[in-house]
Amino acid sequence: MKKRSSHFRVLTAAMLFFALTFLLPAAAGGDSRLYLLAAAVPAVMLFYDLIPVRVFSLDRPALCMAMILCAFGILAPAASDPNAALVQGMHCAAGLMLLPAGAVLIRIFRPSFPSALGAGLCGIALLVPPLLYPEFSFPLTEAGLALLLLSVAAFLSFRIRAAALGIALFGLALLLLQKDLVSAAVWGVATVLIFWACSGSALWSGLSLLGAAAGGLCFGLLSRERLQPSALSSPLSVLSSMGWIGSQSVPDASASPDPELSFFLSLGEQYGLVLLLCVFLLMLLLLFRCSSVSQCARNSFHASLALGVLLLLGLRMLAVFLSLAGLIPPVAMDLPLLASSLPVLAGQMFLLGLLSGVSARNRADLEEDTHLAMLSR
Amino acid sequence: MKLMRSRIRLITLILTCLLIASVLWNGKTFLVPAGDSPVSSGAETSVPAEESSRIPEETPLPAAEPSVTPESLYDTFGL
Repeated sequence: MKKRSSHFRVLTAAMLFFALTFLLPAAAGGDSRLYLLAAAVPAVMLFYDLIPVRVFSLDRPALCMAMILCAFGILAPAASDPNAALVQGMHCAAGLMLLPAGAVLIRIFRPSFPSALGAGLCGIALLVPPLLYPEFSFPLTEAGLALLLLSVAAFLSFRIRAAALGIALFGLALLLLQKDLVSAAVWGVATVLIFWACSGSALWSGLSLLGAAAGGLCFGLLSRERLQPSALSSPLSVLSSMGWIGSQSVPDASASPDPELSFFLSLGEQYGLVLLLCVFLLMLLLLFRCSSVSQCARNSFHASLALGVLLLLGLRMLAVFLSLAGLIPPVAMDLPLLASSLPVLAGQMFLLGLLSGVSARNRADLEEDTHLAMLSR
Repeated sequence: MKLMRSRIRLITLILTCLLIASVLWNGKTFLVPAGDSPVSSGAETSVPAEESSRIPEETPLPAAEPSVTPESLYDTFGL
């Protein structure tokens, strides 16, 4: 009860903060769209905290942090372009609908060979369309990676490591063929670390690392492109020249900046460095929550799944910050939950839904233990 | 599971350290406006607006001296 009330206080403070930050420019400029956002953003936060959390047993801290990060994403363009803020708000609301879907999927998913294979095939099917239809402009990479992660975690939980490695390498190959090298690097590093954490076997970790390195090397040799001079002078230029890091995703320097990246930077420009640090700390807290859920899990399937969510979100953050620092070439990627693209947002919400499902399972295990302890007295 | 938990803790710690280090490295990028950031301009570094405004457009350079002595410095800068 104490935890719940403290959580509610945090959420109330966040709702008041966002109501005021949208209301002040709305009152100054008399913009009805900002008035709408000032009412809708806290209302959606309150609604999700009251109803879907209880109905679908969602993880309250993760949901609260995800909603606050989404609200920051809406706030970023609000002052300069209220229409973009409205569109971003609708994207966030649509993405939030996928969060309960992930939680329900974990509740009904039982790790077995057919279910793991089915999840893996579905993930692969989501990664294939951009290869068959280059004009396909609805990237489903995030959702595909979430399903591949589910499959790898399920295979690892009953120790069919060869199948898990095959699914992981197939996903990596598809990402490399899509020329989405940063996503490929994130997926490769994430699966290697999951293998290392789950198997405890240096042999399997080494095998997966070798496979990922060989794939990256082959692709880098087959389709080498010229890098920018700044990228070649960076400390990770060796990796870039091998095709591991973004040689294909290097945008033209004269082109306009990626609007997704500028969400984070425009927050700092408009509201100062303190707010930027708050957003960063919130992301770190979200990662700590993933780690906590992973460590509290009772079986390796749930633990590796939550670890995968932690790695996919954390490595994505790291890639964006490294590209901002100039250590790797600029990437066409956005910070988690600060994306303007609906499929990316929805995929990340689905990942957080998987985390919520694991957290609900942990709570159920704890309650069962308490019940058994009471019966044994 | 115990080994796995300790490895998860280690992964979290390393990832957090890397993230904090990358953000500290990025301090300068976050301080300058987004339009002038190295990412958007494509430049390696950028001079903050305040400093660039303080630099005069044509700073007269002192005349080249064949040899610099304490006396010449005294005459030039009034030290």
